[in-house]
Amino acid sequence: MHSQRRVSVDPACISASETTGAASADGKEILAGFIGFESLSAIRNAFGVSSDGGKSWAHVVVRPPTALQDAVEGDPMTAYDPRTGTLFAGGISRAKCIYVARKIPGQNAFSPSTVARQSDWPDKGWMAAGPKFNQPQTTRLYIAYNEGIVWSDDLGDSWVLPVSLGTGYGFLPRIGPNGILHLSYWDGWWGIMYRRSLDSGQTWSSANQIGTRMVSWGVQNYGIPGTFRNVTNNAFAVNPVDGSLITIFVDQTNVVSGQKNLDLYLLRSLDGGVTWGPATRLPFRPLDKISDMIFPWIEFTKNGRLHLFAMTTAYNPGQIDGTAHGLWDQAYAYSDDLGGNWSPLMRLTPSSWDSAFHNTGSADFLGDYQGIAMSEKSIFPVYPDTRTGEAEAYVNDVYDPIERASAFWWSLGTPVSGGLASIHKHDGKAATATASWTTGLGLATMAEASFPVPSASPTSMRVHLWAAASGINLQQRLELRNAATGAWEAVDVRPATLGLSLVSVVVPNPSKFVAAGVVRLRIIHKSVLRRPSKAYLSSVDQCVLLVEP
Amino acid sequence: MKTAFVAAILGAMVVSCSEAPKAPNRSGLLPPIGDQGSRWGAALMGLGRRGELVTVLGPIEPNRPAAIAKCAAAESSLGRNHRMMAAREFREAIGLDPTYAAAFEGLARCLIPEGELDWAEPLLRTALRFEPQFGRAKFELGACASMRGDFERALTIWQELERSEPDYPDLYARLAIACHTTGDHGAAVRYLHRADLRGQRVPSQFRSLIEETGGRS
Repeated sequence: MHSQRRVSVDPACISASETTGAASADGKEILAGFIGFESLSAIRNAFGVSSDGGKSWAHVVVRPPTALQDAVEGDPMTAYDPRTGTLFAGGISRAKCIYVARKIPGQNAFSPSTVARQSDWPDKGWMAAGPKFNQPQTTRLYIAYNEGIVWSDDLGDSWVLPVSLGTGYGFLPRIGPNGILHLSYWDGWWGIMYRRSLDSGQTWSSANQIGTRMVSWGVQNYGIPGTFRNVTNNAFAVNPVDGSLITIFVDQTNVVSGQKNLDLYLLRSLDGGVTWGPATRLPFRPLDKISDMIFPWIEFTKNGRLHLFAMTTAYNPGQIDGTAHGLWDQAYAYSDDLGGNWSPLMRLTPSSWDSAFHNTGSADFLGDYQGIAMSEKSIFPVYPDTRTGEAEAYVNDVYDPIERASAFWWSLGTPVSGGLASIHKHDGKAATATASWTTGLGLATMAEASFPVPSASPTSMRVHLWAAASGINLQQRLELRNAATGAWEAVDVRPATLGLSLVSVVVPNPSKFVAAGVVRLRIIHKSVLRRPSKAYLSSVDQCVLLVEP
Repeated sequence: MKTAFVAAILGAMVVSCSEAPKAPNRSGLLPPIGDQGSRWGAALMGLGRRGELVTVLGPIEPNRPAAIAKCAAAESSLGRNHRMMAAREFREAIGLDPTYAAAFEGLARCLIPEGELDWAEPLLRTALRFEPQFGRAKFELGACASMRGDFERALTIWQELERSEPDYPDLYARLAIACHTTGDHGAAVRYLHRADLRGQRVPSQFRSLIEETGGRS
């Protein structure tokens, strides 16, 4: 994880919050959106824009067409279409319209905005882009907002009239496998709601209350240190691997020493939204500790890892609800099993920041939600932080270091079970091969793999291997191929183990093993003593690289 | 946008100081709208004062059928999530018949999710003045209390509703949670059983919490 970088870099912006994000698949082009106060009476949709993977940022304001501009423009939203590689940014012009613009590839600039819908009172829109239902070679750009859902089939140039979504707040659309369109929202009371469309937004399933909050509050401050409003929009994401769905919502769990504690709760559907399991509390707070988590946001990366980040007082427990100076941080965690188990909470902020320094005057505003810009390998949580004396927007680069093999084969030995997929996860389902040794020393089994790596000069690389060999007196060698010489170099040599055991090895000077974005690796089991002919089984359960670009 | 929402909804509601001298100064938020003033003024005193509606002053010719029709239009707007339109229509219904409880309750219902509890509560109390057994208004008044974190008051209001309308939807689920939050484990469990008997919607995480904590809040 890289340390935070500020993206609201225009000094004329006096406060930045209510964030959103989107990134290209390769992570080079990133949008980090926020409401930027130019003054207390000039509020804009602004975007931190990077075209170099987050190394540098420009601060770009995206406005609607001139005739529909207003003193108050907000509710920033973003989307990325993987098929066309298009990044979208948009927002609302108060009492006038919803609008969208496309990022110009390679430039920190946008095309002129188009109007998705003119309306007297548009509110809170979120975008999603992806294929229409069962039409993988198409792109439909959706905006769900208070009046319903609209869409464009020409990357935002023209839009249909809204289809009503009924009553609710925070309509959040997501596109799952096969272009199924999912929607999460809350009903403004206690209901966590869900609907889906199997015809790209024309018709919808009935509103389904998939969860119920124990305690509800409206657009107001409730139960937290600080005096800013903490609206409870749902976080919601679809697993691209299998279409499973996760909804995260905020609820009050208990009261400790008179202080309300707000926690995150998870709802899960394993059948594309047809049925949902019970709500479970995320395990980030012992019940007797006084702290809160609010403004959650989640995303799935392509490998099915679930990423969560939220604003939290976990690093300053025991604060008093409603105190003027709430001390807050941002934290991140991930899950590889749809929220069943979580990594420890990781702090994104270098130190806590004071909610009183929002710099929005009596509005007392730090946004109603946060967002994540996500590429295939990195996620960029986007969030406000007041450490400079006013709220500014920041990102971190939280990358997934795991590189999985793109090819795997046995160059010595007879394959018995498993294959490439077997070595992606440590789950006991190994790739195996048998071999026998003749009298004398010699190679016995040799497994080889190729790994794509994102950088020609990674700053670090580690091999993470679970392997075993069922014979005795066997040696295990882990070798990498030198890109320049073609020679194989050992990075680890040790006795093989009868049961699966972990080898986690730092690779010195990793760039010398990268050839055209690929690292070649092999795992050798061989006898170290003379033995008569005897068969044994060689197993590789997981072999991955952890690469820091 | 939130303040503008309230202002836009209530913008045509007037408190004319000469006609309703006890109203607070909200002239910045409430521009006058001419001869509607006397009819509206007293109806809105409760709003401005955040208390009960005291008296309806001046000649009133309530048009109940028109108010009912206007409320129906408001419900339709609400069903399409046009909250602003719905709130305006409920407000107009109040103007057509300032004794129509459903109009006050409907306007409150638009405002509560917006967190505008200071406005919603007097509207609900006004509704209950005109219709003391208005279950929905009473339930929502309890909801306002819970949304302020005042679960003792929510309990009082909901227990009052329990006496008059024990089968009100999800009432026992809400009572169970309120009791748990105020530390009354025994009552929480009793209300939970009643909620289950009636098939009410009990949050699954609440059941887990009861089990995990032995009912201790």
